[in-house]
Amino acid sequence: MIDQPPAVVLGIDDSGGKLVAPGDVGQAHDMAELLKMAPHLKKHPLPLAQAVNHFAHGSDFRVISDPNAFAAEYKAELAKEDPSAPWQAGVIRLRDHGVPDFGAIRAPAVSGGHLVFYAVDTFLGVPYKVVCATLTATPVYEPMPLTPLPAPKVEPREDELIGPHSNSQPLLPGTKP
Amino acid sequence: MPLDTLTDQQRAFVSQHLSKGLFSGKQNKATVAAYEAYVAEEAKFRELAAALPREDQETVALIQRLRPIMDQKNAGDFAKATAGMTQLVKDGEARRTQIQQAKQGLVDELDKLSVAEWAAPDKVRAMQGEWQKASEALTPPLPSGKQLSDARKAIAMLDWMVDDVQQEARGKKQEVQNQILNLIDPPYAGPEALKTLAGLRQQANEAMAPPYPTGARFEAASKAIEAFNTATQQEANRIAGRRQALQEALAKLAVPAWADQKAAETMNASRQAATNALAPAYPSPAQVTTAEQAINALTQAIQQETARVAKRRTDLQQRLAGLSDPAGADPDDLKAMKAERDKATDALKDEFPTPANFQAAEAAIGALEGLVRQAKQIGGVSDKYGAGSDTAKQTKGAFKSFRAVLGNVEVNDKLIADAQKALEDRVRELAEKQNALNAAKAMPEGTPEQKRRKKQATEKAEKECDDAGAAKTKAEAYLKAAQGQKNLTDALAGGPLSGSSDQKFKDATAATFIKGFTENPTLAKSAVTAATTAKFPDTIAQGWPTVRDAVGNGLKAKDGTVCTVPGACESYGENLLKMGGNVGGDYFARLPDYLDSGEQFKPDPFGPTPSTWGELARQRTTGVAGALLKDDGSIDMTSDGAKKTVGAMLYNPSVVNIPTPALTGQLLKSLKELEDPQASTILKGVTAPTDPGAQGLVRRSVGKGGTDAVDAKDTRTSVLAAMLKPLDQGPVGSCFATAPARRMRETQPMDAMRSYAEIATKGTYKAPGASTAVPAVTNIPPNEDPIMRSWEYSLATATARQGNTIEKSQFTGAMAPGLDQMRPIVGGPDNAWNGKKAALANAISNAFTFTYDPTLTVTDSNDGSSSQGRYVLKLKAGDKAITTQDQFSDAIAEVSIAALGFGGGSDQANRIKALTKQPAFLNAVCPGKYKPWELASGGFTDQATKTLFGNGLQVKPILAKASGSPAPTEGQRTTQVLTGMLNQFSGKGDHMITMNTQGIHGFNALPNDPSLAELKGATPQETAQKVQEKLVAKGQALKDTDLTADRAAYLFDQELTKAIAGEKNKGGKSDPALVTMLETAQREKRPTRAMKPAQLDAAVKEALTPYNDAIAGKDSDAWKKKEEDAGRPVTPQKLQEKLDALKKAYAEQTENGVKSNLMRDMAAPEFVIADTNWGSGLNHTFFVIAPDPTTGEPKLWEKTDPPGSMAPAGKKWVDTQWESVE
Repeated sequence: MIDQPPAVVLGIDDSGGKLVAPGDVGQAHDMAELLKMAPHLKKHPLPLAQAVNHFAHGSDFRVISDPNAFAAEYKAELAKEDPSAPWQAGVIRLRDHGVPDFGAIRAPAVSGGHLVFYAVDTFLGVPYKVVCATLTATPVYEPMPLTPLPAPKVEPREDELIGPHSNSQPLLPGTKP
Repeated sequence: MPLDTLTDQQRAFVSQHLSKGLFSGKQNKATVAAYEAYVAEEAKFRELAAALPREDQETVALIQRLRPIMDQKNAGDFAKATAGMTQLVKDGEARRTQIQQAKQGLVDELDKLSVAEWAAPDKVRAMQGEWQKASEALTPPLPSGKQLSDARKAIAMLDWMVDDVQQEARGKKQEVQNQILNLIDPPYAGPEALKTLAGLRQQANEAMAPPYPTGARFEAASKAIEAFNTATQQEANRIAGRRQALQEALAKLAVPAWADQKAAETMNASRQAATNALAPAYPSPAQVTTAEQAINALTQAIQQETARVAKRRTDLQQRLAGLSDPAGADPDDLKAMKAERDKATDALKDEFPTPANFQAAEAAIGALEGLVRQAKQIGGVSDKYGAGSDTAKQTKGAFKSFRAVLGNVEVNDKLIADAQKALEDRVRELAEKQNALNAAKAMPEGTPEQKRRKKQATEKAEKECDDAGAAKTKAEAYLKAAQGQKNLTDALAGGPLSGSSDQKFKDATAATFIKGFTENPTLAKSAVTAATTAKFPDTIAQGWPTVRDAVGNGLKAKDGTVCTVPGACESYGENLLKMGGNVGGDYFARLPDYLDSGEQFKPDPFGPTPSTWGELARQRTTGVAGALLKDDGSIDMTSDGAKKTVGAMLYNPSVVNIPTPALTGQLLKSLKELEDPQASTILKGVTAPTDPGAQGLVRRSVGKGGTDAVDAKDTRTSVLAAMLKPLDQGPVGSCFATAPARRMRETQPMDAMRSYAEIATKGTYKAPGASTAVPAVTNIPPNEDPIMRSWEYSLATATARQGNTIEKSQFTGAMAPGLDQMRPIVGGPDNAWNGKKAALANAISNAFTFTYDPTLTVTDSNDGSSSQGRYVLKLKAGDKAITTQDQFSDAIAEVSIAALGFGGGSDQANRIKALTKQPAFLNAVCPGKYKPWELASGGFTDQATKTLFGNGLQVKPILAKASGSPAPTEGQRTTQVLTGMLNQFSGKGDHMITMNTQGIHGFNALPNDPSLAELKGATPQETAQKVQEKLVAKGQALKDTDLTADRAAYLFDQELTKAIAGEKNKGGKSDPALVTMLETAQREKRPTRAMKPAQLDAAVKEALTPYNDAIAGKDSDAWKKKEEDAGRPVTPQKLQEKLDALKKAYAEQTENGVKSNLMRDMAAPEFVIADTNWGSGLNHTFFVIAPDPTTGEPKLWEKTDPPGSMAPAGKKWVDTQWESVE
């Protein structure tokens, strides 16, 4: 029988503050309060990661709980993009950044006291690696390395071209005495 | 009835021979019938015998044959008698036929002959006698033999006689006809004479027309021939007389002494033509005509030449009279002017001066004009730069120095060409003398005599060498002075050195240039040309001594290497001066060391020239960056390699030949910035990237291939190379991000460098105002600096994300309290509801996102005004934009129903759907004026600026969108923009402040540009007054300025000359017909009278519009072909649209060119208010406020340096809302 992680409810209060409700025991406004309220969560990296992520960035990031599903979503999104389109202001495209090493993305885990998980930037769609030195420490979000996709071939515009010139001969032939 | 035909006698006779009565018996009847037959035959014979000539023997013989027959008849043997008689009749008839035939033959012969009536009368009579004889002999019906014989004789005689007279007549006629044939028209005969002679010839011919003319005709022919000869002689006499008259007239027409060479040649040619035509004793009519025409031409030429000379004298006298002594001229100059004036007056004293007189007068007047012009130019310079200025002193000194060499001579292109030729001759002579000297030195000296000869030859050759050397030096000095005088005179005719132009250099700069014309006239001309449009003319003057000397000594390197190719040094020097003028600062500081190094003789120090400007910039900056880096990552600008490479970037001929002045300027600026110790610290911290994105960016930066390894040196080079480039808005970019990025690059270069370093090392970018880093954007267009552009794009990305976070925070903050409206539907205890509400608020936060759309128009419901650009709320599911209240209500209901776990068709779901449309709910979740579906307009520039510089910055309005009725004019609005900015930035020391012209552009104000200093007042009122005085009033004065004809022509020529050079420099695409069109337009449309700036603008447009339209036609055709070749059909409408667009663009280009020149030459006030972000390695563009010289109205311009060209930004720019982010 698989040990199902306890569910946590992520919420926002009237003042816009973030809170996490670990069942019916109350609402926590930070990790310390949450762990005090529900110490059993320490054994469950996913709700821990969700709580950490929620307190840190709310809905700006989403914890990647299923790396395979994420990879499939990412690839599907990439496939929808025009590979020859140049970067364009205001248009968010995965292709402008590249492709992560999907194999490196793991489900949330606690190791040596560190909570490590991967989160997707819900605005950009790219994955980040998040490391919490301790469960109550401020998490560090680092973009995952992304391998650039082949650059679209673009013919230079006329004004980008240097006109005819000659560099086959020295412009100033020098004569030694 | 028988016997009826018989006479009684016959009856009686026959009765004798009847047996039984006359009518009885059968026998009687036969006898009677036989008798009757006989009688009939006998009657025939009798008739024949009567007709035949009796004298003929043949007739006699026939009659004699009657006897036997008669006997038989009488014997009653009628049958035999009848038979005999019948034969006799037959023979008689034969005889008769014979005679008739003979007669007819003679008659025919006679009919063929006629008496030659034209013959002499006695012969006519003789012929008539013979004819008569023959005729008479043939008169009887049956002439006798004798008659026939007579007739035959007469006919023979007649025939002989006719033949005789005919022969005689033919001979005589031939004789006359020969005479007629000799009646030849004389070649000198005129038309009338020819007509007469032709008539006489015709008379003679007509007289001889019959085969055998009569005597009268012979007489008439003789008379006509005689008359012909007489007429011929008379014509000869007439022609001789005409010839004599023409010769006498010609003798009187002498070529006047005042005729110039060309006229004299023409006259002599006419004279010779007349002489030649009159050479024959009897000239032909054509020759007479030629002679007459030549004499007329000669007469006319003499008259014209005389008139021309008189007019030329008058003109020169008037020209001379117009050359008064300029006020304030130097006494020496006045003395020289008097001398030339006296020379001219003396040369023109004769009524008709000779060519030599004119030459002397023209030379003197030309010299005088030159002196007057020089004096006026000196006066103009003195007025402009001050009488005691160095410029005025140098100008006077320069002209005096030229005069010392040239004398009072007017220098023109021909004189310079002659001087050039003379110098070439002297150089060649010197070379020959040097060869001769070398040959003398090589002579043998074995014997005393050989020694003596060698010594003698060597001494002679040395002397000749010295003389040739001195002659060459003199020729060089003459040419240099001539070029100097010409170039200086031209430079003082218009432009910044000229008194007629308001454009002005600093005194020291102008003085340096003026003196330069005495040092290197060609290079000085280039220096002034470059300085006229340069942003930093003083830098050119500062570099002048170095460049002048370098060019003068063949760019000599320390090891003695020199350039000996004619013109190459000057061309290089010109490029250096241009670059210095565009780059400014201490551009020339490193030049002496560079030239000493000899690197100037090494081409392409950064490799072969690539095809694009972007790649060229990459090549040059990575080359320099690599040379500046030490192994530990620190910067060393003092190493030989660094000096050499920086020198190459600044000065190498290959580099300045394909100049990138903005890049070079940035390089110099960056080198100073990189003196900051932080720079080395940052670079030392740069390591080889492990991030694949960063690796890719570095690879591209240093020009490596797709999988090449990159190390720390590469990475540092890429960072440093980015620092060496100007940060401008790229072809694919975002002004919203570029503006703050450029601001940071310009004002906090080390922070920018850190960003570059982060991207190159880690492949991420953490903006100061953002909560987390973003992965660097690696989709960078080719030919762009990958590190720099990645920073700009990554900043834009971070800004978008930050904007989303901020907008969403506000959205969630507004939504959360209002969600209590749903509690009655959800139900449950308070604590349960609070939990559900918090979760619902989070679900709503998760469900939506915000993106910025710069193209959306937002209309203000209060005043109806509109603005562009705002954030848009989107439902992530389906990426659906929420732009209406209903869409918002539906989206909130959808998200809420799902988050609360209600079934889609449940009662709660329906109630929520109804609730979210209720005003109470909407008011609760959208407090105040907050409408998530219609967010207020706002710029993205401010968000980007905050993201980069921190969220403490605020948007501050400078000027609201133009409004009111009537709407303000462009000039009024531009003035408001300027005063608004001056007031907004009053007292602030920032170099740059980010600006936003709503819905159009994000850029950076330059609140402390030196040009604005004179407008800054202590109070807004004082500032407004200054703006009014220095911008508005000045503009009005500019438009009303009367440009002198010379100044207008100078400005006109600038555009036309530029267009001609542009067309000529198109290489194989140059069109000679268009060049001719432009040259004709320049010649024919050049202003010749004073005019206002607007009139000059119109004149240039009139001259250039045909050319502009022609090239628009060619370009649109080329575009069509290119499109069609690429498989894109072009409709006639599309082609017309393209043509119209090109025509408009070229017309605007012309107008901008004219106005740029006017503004420069009129020194129109220019107030640089902002940096546009637009530029490249070649130039950069600023926003400048200045009056339009043709209307006087203030305008916002885009000024691009180099070459300082102006283009109006357009009214929409000043009409929009202006705001700052500070």
